[in-house]
Amino acid sequence: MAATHDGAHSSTRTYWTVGVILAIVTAIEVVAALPGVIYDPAQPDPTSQVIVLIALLIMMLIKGALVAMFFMHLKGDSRIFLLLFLVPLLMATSMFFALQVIFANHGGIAG
Amino acid sequence: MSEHAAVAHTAHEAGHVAGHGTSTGLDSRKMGLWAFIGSEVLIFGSLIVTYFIYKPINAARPDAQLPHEELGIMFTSLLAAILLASSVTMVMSLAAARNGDKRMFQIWHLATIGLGLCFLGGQVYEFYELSHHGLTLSSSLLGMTFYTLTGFHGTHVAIGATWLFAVFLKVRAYPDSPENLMDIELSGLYWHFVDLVWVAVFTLIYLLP
Repeated sequence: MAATHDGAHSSTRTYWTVGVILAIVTAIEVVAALPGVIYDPAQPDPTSQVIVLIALLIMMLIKGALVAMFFMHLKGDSRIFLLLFLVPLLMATSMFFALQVIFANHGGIAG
Repeated sequence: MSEHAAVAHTAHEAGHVAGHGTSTGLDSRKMGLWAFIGSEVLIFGSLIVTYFIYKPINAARPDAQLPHEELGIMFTSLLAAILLASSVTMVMSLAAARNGDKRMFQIWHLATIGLGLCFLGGQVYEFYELSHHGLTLSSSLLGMTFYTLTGFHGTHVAIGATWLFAVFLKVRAYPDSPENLMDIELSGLYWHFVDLVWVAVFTLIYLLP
């Protein structure tokens, strides 16, 4: 148990590395989302909109995984904690897609 | 209780030393906090879902206030960077406490609180600017869903900053005792979760076209 507990905590060098990666990915996210870089709201293009959407979602997942694995110590810690986090996350994600499908063509909920 | 004052060498012993015995070898407080984080994932998930349900409905209205017109990216990017930096300082404070470095623990921990307060101040400023430009809680569906989601998150940041300060006052003399290490870790877990939520909110609300 002590090994598991100690193994969950990385070195300070790792924390700084993760911090730098988070900063870089955030910068790339912001640049990618700026109008005209990939997608221009003034000249909407479905292809570029999908590209931006996928790129931003992937970067969001990368950042979230890094924070969860290294800062919240899920990597190397008990799998029970991982389950306590992942199961609700999967439920929330499923709820998102299900409600998007239900309300896709429904304008009545807000009048 | 005095017989449990000995130094714990394992997580299991730490559970007993702290007076929180457990049959799994895992601290029950940590289990409880992760369960709480799981419930918070569902709460924030429902708020984000509500935003996305109302987003096209809002956009279809003739008097619509649109996210890419109302919400600025640059200032919010600074807030996102501040909150991410606070996550780094938080994990560094825990590492310093585990290493028995009291001075660095205090510095990193206070830095975390300071960055959290900077984030809150920035969010208050953002809300003030947006409301003066006409985006309020009742001005449109965007205003309603945006302020509910980000205001709820801001409340969590405020609670987190308060918790961190309370932990600082409690543990600052002996941050490396097993009981105090767990206090620091638990408050840190909550803080990292708050940052995790902002990672999602920043991308989904501010950046997505």
